Amino acid sequence: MSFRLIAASALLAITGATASHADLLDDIKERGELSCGTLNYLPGVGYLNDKGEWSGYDVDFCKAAAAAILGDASKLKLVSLTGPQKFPALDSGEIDILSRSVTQTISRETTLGYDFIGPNHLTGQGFMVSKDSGVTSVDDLDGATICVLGGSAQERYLADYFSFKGMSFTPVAADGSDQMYPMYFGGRCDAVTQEPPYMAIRRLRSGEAEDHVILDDIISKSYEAPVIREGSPRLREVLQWMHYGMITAEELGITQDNVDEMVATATDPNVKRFLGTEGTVGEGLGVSNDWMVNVIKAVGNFGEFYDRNLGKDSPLGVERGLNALPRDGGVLISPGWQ
Amino acid sequence: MTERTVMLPPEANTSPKAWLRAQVKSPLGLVLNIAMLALIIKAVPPLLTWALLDATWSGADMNACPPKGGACWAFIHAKMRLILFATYPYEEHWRAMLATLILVALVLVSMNPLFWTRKLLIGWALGLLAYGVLMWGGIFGLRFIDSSNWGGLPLTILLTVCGVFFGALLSVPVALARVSRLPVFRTSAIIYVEIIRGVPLISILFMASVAMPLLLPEGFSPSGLVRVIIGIVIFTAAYMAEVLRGGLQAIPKGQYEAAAALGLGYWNTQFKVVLPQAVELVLPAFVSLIIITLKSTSLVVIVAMMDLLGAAKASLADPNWIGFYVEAYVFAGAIYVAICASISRYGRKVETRLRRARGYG
Amino acid sequence: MSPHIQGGARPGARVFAALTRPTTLAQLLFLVAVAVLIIVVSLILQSNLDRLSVKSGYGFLLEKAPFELGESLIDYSAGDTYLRAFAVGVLNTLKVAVLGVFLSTILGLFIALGQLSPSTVVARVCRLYIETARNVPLLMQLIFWYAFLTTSLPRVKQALSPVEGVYLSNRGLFIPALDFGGAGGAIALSFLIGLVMAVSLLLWKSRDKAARNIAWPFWGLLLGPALAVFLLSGATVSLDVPQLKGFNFRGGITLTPEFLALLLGLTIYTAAFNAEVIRGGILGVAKGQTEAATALGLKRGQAMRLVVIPQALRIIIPPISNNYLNLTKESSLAVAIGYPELVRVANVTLAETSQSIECISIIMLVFLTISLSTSLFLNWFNARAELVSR
Repeated sequence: MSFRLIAASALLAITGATASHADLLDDIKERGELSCGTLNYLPGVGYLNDKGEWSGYDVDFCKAAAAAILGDASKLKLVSLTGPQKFPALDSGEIDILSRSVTQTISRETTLGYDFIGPNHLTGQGFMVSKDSGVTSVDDLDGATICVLGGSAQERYLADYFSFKGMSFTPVAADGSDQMYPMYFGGRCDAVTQEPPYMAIRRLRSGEAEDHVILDDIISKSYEAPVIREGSPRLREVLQWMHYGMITAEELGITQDNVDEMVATATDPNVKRFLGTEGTVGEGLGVSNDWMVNVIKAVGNFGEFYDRNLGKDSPLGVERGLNALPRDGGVLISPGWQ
Repeated sequence: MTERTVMLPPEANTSPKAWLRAQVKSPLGLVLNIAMLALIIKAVPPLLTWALLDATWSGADMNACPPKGGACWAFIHAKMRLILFATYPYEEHWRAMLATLILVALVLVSMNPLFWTRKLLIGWALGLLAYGVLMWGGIFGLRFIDSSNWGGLPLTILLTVCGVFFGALLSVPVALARVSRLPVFRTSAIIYVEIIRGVPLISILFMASVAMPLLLPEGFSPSGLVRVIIGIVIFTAAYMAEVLRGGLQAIPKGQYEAAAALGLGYWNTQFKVVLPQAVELVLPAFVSLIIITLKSTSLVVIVAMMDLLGAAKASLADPNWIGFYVEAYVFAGAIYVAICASISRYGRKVETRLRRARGYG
Repeated sequence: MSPHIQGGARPGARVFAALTRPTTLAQLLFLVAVAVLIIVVSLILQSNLDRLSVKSGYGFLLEKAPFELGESLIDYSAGDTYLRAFAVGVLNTLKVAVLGVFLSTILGLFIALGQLSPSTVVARVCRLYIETARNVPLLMQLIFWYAFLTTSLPRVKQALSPVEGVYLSNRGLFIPALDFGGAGGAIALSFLIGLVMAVSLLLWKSRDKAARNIAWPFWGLLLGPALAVFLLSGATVSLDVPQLKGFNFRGGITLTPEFLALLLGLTIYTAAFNAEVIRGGILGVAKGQTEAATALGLKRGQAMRLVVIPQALRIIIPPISNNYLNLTKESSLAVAIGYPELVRVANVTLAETSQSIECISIIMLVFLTISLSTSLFLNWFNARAELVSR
């Protein structure tokens, strides 16, 4: 016991470990750079455009976070991670935020020791089958071969669901959706499972949209959220309120284009507090008062953020569904900014 | 001295007619020739139709390419710079290209022992300096680019060069230990070499990218690139040490005895007499190790790094271009073949030149 | 140079002198450094694991694995232990390795002979094959073949059927199987035992040049155990032919596209290296040997079979066995195409449990065991081959 203590302190002296702060937020500000883990193979979510620039929903969350904390979306280091790498990278401190379409579950939050920010993307796990297979419900899929993204939460829920129903299936674990969908449309699998919007897009682009049907059954919620390590309550607060802020901006009609104008002309005290021209909302969180202005300049309000990457302004054209304000039939809400 | 006439073997007849006759002389040869020609005639035209006649050469997105048509080179046209440079900033691609060319030139020169002079060392120092300045920037008005953004072909070449260079450095003490009379060193070297050669590279890369941070104090973990390079070096060094050991054991005993007679100690004997000869002996094997290392670097895809293969894979995820894997892999594959084939050709050339210079063969 | 101690010195002084010799000191220092390094690293590891509240140790192997694996040689389904999942992975690795070794040797032999054939066209094509297959990274070849097999072969309903009962589609290759009515496992095991015994007999007898008539005992040992088990168990044989039922073919043996792509990629890649080794071996046999054989009136084929190949084998075996080991290790790249071999099982487990060091160490231990036992066997075999040559 005492030997271990001595050895450990000697070790600390040898390596001269830097005194780390209580909260990751201070570390990030001191470093002047945010490190964010994401992925590079999901169209609309995380991928590289023709110029090799990072794009997508999960990537834009990282950009927004860098803008909120450091005031500059380009002070960002993006690290692409595979499924098995994602949690070890977070554990080791290689990345500050993991924004990689991680499904929020209670077991991950409690047993693995992570804090989820969000969820910021609400979907579920559904199935697509070909029409001539005669399948009308998931329960008809006994004995089927099913394509699933390898290493995803969906792979696990699929196994859970089928064993609960006492049915058998053969999984084909694909390495990315660019491998999975050609396999499904080529007939390698009887069904493919993912979030329905993504399947709808792939169906539309397959050239045989008439022949495939997306089942109504949703076997599990798939509420995806960015993740940080436990023990940084202030970083969690900033990111949580940044998410609310993007929703609030949409409510208030503040967009990437008119944000400067709003800063100059706003008279509503709520808007002024939100934009940091009045009060000290930002300072209270440990960031600058105009932090939401920076976020909106970087990625826009939630609607812009969604539509540019996944929604109507993207080649994917996914409906917003649950990911909309209550007035548009969605469930996105933000607490008040008083 | 009497005149002697030397009878040379008849010169090989290389006229097309003679060649043709040779081809049909044996019945087996005839049958094989005809069968293979038939196969070629059957396989090549559809391939050419796909690659050239039916191919689409330009277009803005996937709609330019008909679904069941020929090759969609428009995809490569749009994605070429992404595949070659990945996340390196678009406007700065020339820097990565220039830096990589400097590195390649240095490596090619260094593969020839005839150039191993002090000048080469200076060249390396200057070259590496230029490489660092170009790749990182941050001075001379060049924008700073973090190493996490390096990718594509420059990354493949960087990983290869680092793997081979540091692997070669590490392999010298390991090989010396492996043939040493001192049991501790010999056993340690055997354990190291056998363990590394017994496991797949991918497990070492997993160790480097996933588990290494757990083995280092918090906050001391090097960047992903450095960790992967460490993994590749540890892997390459074991193979190089085995090759080098072969060279060391091939040095005749007389060399050691001569060195001892000159009063040279262990280190002087090794570094001034034995190693220079051994390295020259194993040069061809080293060249093939360079090729193996180059191909092995593609495994970093499995730990989500974007080298040439990784960038080719990443280029497939664009929602505007779906399903052009054949084009992407043919393009990247052709680059690998071109590089590997030229390295081995260059290696053979150096070998013959060296033999001639050393006066044997 | 260390000071030389005179013979009359006390034993203690002699030991001390031996210990202070520079070479000994260096070795001691090295050992101490390694020990310190190991202690420091394990302390850091412990503190990191404590900080992250990650469990350590191999206890998780007995917990339930929540994932399905696509194919397996033993019964497995989600809810079995991780240990069983790893066993499935090891068996799948061995399955593809054994078949890959077999097929790559045959293909390599053909390519080597093609290069040596009198036909220039064939030789050129073989050369082209070798250059391409060797210079494209294996991982890229695997990804390519997988995409090719799953998108270019016909759908299951339009499966190609070259022979009755054999079907090829993008779901894989379906072939009939012999059904021993439950005794299949025992028969396969006894056949394996028979095979080991028969090969041992062959190796043991090969030392003795005079004794050539071991055909009977050889076949007896090879087939005897399996036959005995079959007869004793009273099992019946029937042919299990795959049939299209529901979504897929049922019955028979299924070779999935993942497996086929891996096998194809490994075979094509390794065959190129094997071809070079075999060609080197054949050319390595002195030309005089062939000429002497011809002079004795042996035909081309006979000379090859009786004179050249036995001598070439001695040159070929060490490097080709190295290729076999590489193939086994490279089967780990299947993780990119979803074939559930050891590395993929470890990878999925790692994602599920976060126990990275344990999972990676299992991969390393299994491959190390395979490669070390193979080298031990080969060393023994080479020693034997040398003995024979005298």
